[in-house]
Parts: sequence; C-alpha cells; structure tokens
Amino acid sequence: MPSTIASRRWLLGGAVIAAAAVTAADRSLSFELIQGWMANALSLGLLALAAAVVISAGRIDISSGAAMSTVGMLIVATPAFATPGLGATLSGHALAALYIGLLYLLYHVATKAGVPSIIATLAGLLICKGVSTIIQTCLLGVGQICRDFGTHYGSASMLPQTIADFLDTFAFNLPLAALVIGALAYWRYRTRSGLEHVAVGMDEKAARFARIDIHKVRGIAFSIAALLIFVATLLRLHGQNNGGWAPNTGWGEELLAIAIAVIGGTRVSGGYFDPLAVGLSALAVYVWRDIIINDLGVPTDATSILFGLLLLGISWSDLRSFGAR
Amino acid sequence: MSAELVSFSAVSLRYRGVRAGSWHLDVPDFRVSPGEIHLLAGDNMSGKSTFLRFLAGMETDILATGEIRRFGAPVVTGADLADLSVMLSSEDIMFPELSVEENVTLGVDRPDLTPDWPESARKLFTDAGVFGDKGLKSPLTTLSSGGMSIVKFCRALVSRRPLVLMDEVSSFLDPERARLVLAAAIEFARSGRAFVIVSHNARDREYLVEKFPTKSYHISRHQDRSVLTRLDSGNA
Repeated sequence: MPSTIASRRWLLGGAVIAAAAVTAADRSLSFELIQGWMANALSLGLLALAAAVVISAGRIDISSGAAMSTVGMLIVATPAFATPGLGATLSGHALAALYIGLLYLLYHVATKAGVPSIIATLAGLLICKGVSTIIQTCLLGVGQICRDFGTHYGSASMLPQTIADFLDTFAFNLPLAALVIGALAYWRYRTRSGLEHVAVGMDEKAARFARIDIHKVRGIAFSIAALLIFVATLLRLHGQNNGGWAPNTGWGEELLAIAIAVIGGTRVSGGYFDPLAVGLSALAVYVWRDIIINDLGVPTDATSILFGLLLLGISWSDLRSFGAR
Repeated sequence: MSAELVSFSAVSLRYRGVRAGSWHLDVPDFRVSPGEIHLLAGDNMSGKSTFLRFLAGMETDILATGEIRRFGAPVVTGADLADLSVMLSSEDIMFPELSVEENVTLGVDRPDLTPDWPESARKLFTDAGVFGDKGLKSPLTTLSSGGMSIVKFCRALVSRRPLVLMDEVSSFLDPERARLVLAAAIEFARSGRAFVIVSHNARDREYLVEKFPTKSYHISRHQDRSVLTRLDSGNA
C-alpha cells in the first residue's frame, strides 16, 4: 500500500475524530447522533465506493444517483401493479436487482465497444430519470404513457416505504460497513483480481502487454458497482423514513459520490483505490457537512462552495503525490 | 501434435478498419520450434514490433491470409496465439507505482508461474545488481530503465509459456547486463523455450549469433509493403 494512501487514511480518520470533538465541545454529541451519522453516511459511502471501483479501473460512472432512484421506484411501485403481499414485495426487489444488473451490463458492453464511459453512463442517467418519472406518473394516473393505455393506479403523491428500524441502528450498520470495506480491501490488496483492477486503471497499454483481460476487469468493476448501489438503495429505502420515495430521490448524488471517492484517495485517471479511505471519506464529508450546516449555521450554498474548493485543493495535491499519469 | 510451436506459410498480414492500407507484411515461411532463437531485424516502420504483437495475439485489427498453425492446428484469429507466449516489449513501461514483485507476477498467469519463483527472480536481480533494500517489494519506479528491463525479462524467467517474444528489451542495458540477460535467454532456449527477438543492437545480435545457432531474419519495407526474409539458411 502506498504511503500516500496510508496518510490519507490517517487524515480522514483525524477529520472524523475532530468532528466528534467539535460536537462534544458543543455538548450535543450522543449515541443517537453518532448512530444517525453512521446510517446516513453508510448509504452515501456505498455510492462512493461504487464510484471509486469504477474510477479506479479507468472508467467513470455519473449515473449512480439516478440508478438508485429507479431501483427504489421499482421496489416500491411493483406491489401497486400486482396483488400486494410478500410475493409482490420480493418480485419488486428481484425486478430492481435485474434492472440495475442489466443497466451496468449495458455500460460494460457499450464501453467495451468503445463508447466513452461518461457518455454511456450519461445515457443511463437519462434512462433512469425517465423510467423513474414514468413509474411515478403511472402510479398517479397521469402522464402521456399511462393515459394512452387507460391505466390508473391511485393518487398517492409519495410512494410508501417499508421501514425496517434495525437498518438504522449502529448494531447493524457498523458490521455491514466493516463487512463491505473488509471484503473490498481483501479483494483489492490480497487477490490477483484486485491487483489487475488497479493495474488496468494505471495503464491500459501496460495491462495489455501483461496479458490482463481488460474487459473482464472492467466487467467485474461494473458488477461490483451495481451491487453496491443496490445495497445503498435498500438501506436508504428501508432504513430511513424520509417521507416516501420519490422519483428524484438520489438524483445528483453521483457527483457527491465521485467527490467523496476522490477525497478518499481515488485517482480520477484510475489506478488508486483504497476502500477504507473512501469509507472514512464518506463519514468525514457527511459529518462535517452536518456540523457546518446544522451546528454552525452556514448556509447550504456556502457549504457547497467550501466543499468544491476543498475538492479542488485535494485533487491538486493528489497530482503531486499520486502523479497525473 | 506438431513439434512446431507456431508456423506461418505464405501468410500475408494487413490492417483492417481505420488503418487499412497503411501496412502489409508478407511472411513466406516462418517456423518456430522449442529450443530455437529467432532474431529479427529490419527497416524502421517495416512492422517488426507489429509482427511480434501479432505473434503475441495482441493485434486484433490485423487480417491474416495464408496458413498459420499452432502446434500443427490451424489458427483462426491472431487471438488464438495469445496464451502461447510472454511478450517483453520496449513499448511496455509496466506499472511504476507497483512493486517489482507485482510487476513480475502481473505479467504471468498464476498457472504459468514456475515453482522456483521467487528464488529464480531474486538470483537474477542479485546477479544484475538492480535492487534496493526492499528487494522484490521495491517500487518499480525506484529502478532505472535498465533495472526495469531486467524486471521485464524476469516475466519470461518465471513463466512456463513456451515462447518468449522480446522487442528491443536488452537495448537499454549496459554491455554486462545485456550479456547476463542474453545468456539467460540462451540457457532457457537450451532447456526448450523458444525466443523471437527483435533487436537493432549490433552488440546483442553478434553475441546471440556467436553463442547460439540463431536463425536470423530481415524485414524490408518498400512503400507500404514489407517482406520477412530468412538471412542464414545454413546457420541452424
């Protein structure tokens, strides 16, 4: 593991501890607060890990937020189109898993054929937004497509979520985070597949000379990303009672996920991926945004500017330590 | 099964797609058997490196006509040759941010890794004097281009694949280390590995021809058409 990654872990870990210290000084630090931080940062962290896996293999994914929205829409909407019950619920989850699997397979096939990943995933983003909106309008009984077929399913403005309270608990989220980060770290640092993954991201030409199956490596990367986004959606959908799942839930989070991945030491040009640093980055970014906006009262727009400047500074610094290659 | 690893009879290679018409190589007769060293030289832009990449199964944009066989069985596409060889090329800068060990093993599929890895590699590096204090864990970027060439050659040392393709790998080395690498190549050839070596370097060519019954070829280019010709029919 490069020393730059090790120092990034320490820096991000220190940022999390500093955030806790600032909150403790304010006397508002509590177990419930830490549990809330963990729950919110986990789904964001999974999106960031998905972004990091794709980026470190030399590709980029700008559709993860929109994909999350559609996966959630499919899960909550399927029972409305079938007889409600366990069968419909399971069918909804299976349909959503199939959807995101096929979407990321499409990315793999398209990029293998030479379509730039930013274009392929932009197309996916537009598809996901369209699908989410169509599902919503059909449920509401409005919109051109459903009207033409004479379908009317109800008038709910928000789709009801099935909430499982344990998904928001520390006892569930901490082991899950450890499992995901541990598994990814094992894959990255202990397996040949993980080494081939970063090698392809570092230099595609050198990877060809080493006879690495580049398409297989990127296929694995897209598969891991799809799985992580699916799990992130389940946590967000069933763990957080945010008033109902809407077609635009998750939209725009792909950019935040990419930013967190970069802050976590993922080189945008590929080749560097440290699951622990990305996980810590998600936690640090979420917690500090929470403190800056809610405790210090800094307006969201100003926080966004600060965050943008921080991202630029870190990327600039990474050019010096990781190399631009 | 034929004893020949690979054979070309009346083969014509040319690019298809966007590079169509830019290069054309005729290979009237080219046969590689275990234990042989084939030495290729030729004009600039004649296609020596491209021919080597085709032999390595890395050129998917090349259309081949004529008869290509691998262990006597017809080859349908260039990709059918991919698992036959280790390719060592001066074009390959490997992965400077990874360690020496990672760079060597990345170039060799695990089933192809010889049982004497990593001891054989350590011995080569010790003999060549290319290491820092971290040994195989040293980042590749800490080595000179000559040291990187030794690491590259190590991929052939630790692989079981029967054919080694070398494109100007020894050119970055000083005379002493070049001799070390070429002597190792000759040793491998004596134990049954085959080599196809592209080299412009007179020093290396003379050494190989002097020490081993090398088969020499020249690729000459006239406008967009190149031809591979055997130079020394009597040497083998």
